[in-house]
Amino acid sequence: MSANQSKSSGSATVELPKVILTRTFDAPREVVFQAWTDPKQLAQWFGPHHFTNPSCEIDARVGGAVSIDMRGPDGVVYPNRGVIRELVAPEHIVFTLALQDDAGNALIDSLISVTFAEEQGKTRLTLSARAVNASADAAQYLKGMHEGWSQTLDRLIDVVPNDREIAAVRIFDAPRELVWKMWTEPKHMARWWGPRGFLNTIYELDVRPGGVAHFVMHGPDGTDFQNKLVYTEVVKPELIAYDHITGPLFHATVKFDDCGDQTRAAFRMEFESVALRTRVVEEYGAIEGMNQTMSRLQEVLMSGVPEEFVISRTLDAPRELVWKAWTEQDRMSQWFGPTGSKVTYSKNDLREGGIFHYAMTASDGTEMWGKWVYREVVPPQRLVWVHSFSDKDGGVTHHPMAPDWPAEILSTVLFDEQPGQKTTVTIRWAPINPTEAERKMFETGMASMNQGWGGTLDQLEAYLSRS
Amino acid sequence: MPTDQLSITFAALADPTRRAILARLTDGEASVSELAEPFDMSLPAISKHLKVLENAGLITRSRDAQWRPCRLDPGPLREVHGWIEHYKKFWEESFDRLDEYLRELKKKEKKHVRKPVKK
Repeated sequence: MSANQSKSSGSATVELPKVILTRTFDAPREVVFQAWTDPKQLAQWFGPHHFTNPSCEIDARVGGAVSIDMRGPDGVVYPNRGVIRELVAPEHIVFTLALQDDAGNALIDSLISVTFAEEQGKTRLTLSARAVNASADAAQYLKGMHEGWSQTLDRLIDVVPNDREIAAVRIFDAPRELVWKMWTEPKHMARWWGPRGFLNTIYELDVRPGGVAHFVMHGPDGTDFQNKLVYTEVVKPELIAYDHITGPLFHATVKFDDCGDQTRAAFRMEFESVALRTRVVEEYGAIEGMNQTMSRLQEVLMSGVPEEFVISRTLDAPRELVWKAWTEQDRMSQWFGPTGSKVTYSKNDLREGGIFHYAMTASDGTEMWGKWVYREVVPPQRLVWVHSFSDKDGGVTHHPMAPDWPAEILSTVLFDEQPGQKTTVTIRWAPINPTEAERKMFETGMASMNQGWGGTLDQLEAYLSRS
Repeated sequence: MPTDQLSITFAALADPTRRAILARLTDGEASVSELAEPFDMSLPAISKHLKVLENAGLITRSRDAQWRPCRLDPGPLREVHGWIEHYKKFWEESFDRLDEYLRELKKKEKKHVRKPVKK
């Protein structure tokens, strides 16, 4: 690192540093070069720790514009504007970059030169970043230039997998603690893990070094996939690493970077061999699957993570039989509802879009109508429907006693086969587009059932039983 | 604003501070400053929470004593508890019945299998 001096726009003299860094990446030159010139990839790593890039554009040709808005952990956005001076793919790129503060005042003008050299299948990258002009206010930014570029190159690793790896980076609009919860609590993880259409039954999620996770992924076509992991490294809320010990074998690492109210997650899977990686990508569509998984997590986070009601039971009967008992009209009326209640049907049309309309008469004689509209019917694995209270004519009503109870609830039932001709049934309820009042009522009620309001419910229950 | 008792109670219970206050009151009545103690909150802020609990009928405040102690009223709490229990019971009892029904089905199936063997 060298420094020269320049008169800046202000009267003070500032030192203009030059940063030179080299790194070797275990990936071909083309891959590393592309990470600099593809705006989508560039947005995923450009900038120091805790920064994200809400806007990132690069016109990858000589004379093309570079425009990156970098957002700090405090939410302040720093615009970077520049022009590409030289570009020879995949060998080198030279561009200017003018860093501005959030008011649009120039802070530092830099000239950045990056060369990509091939070294036995790996890529040796040399970066030279020279400040050519700086304002009097830029002193602290200049001081941080070396560390900033060093961290930036650290993050570049996250998007350049080697030929045995798959890697992905996602920016989630949620604080890190919440994203961590999504990965480590069964009721949350069950909701987004896997490609679109997959549902999960989670038996164990012991997220600590040496801990085991055991869950079944239920494919939309009815195929079930057993999954077992052993956690090798867990640093809350920063890092999770695990070995996937049911086929296909791989080691995975997830890093969570705290970016204020956002979280940058870097996910990486390393397979045993190039051949296995190729097979998983080509036959199972693993890259697309991983992208879908991340998108689902984003959607769950965007929905405000409402509480769900979850209840499950393992029954001593084969899955086909449990499915029959659940879906055949005469069989279902044998058991559906609390002790002493009776179910009568208006109709049960078991197919997607079909309606199950029923009356349940409680032991005290009260009659309640309910309606299910089936969304997914995948025998003998899953049944998904929209539940609502109803009247005799099949209209949708609110609960007569509690108008703020959600009008529509998405009910998901999974039937998972267990060794010894047993079946685990898991029911999940989530309100659909609830109003604020509906969401509150559902969550207060459901949270209390799932986890006892963090202990306070136990105290209240004990009180009720003695008062 | 909700007008039915159950919704009002649920809205009051939706806040963790208010639930903690209720939990504290299960040990017996307490003054506002006693209730405020465990929280990093001003007395007016605690008073606001108490107002919500009072409006929901979850607590009563004595008019006699000068320090106006707060006391838990189990009525609305019992109603909410019943509501929650209802759902739990609904599925637990359904599962019990399903379990029983499946057992019968399996017994019947076994009989069907045995018959031809006996002949």
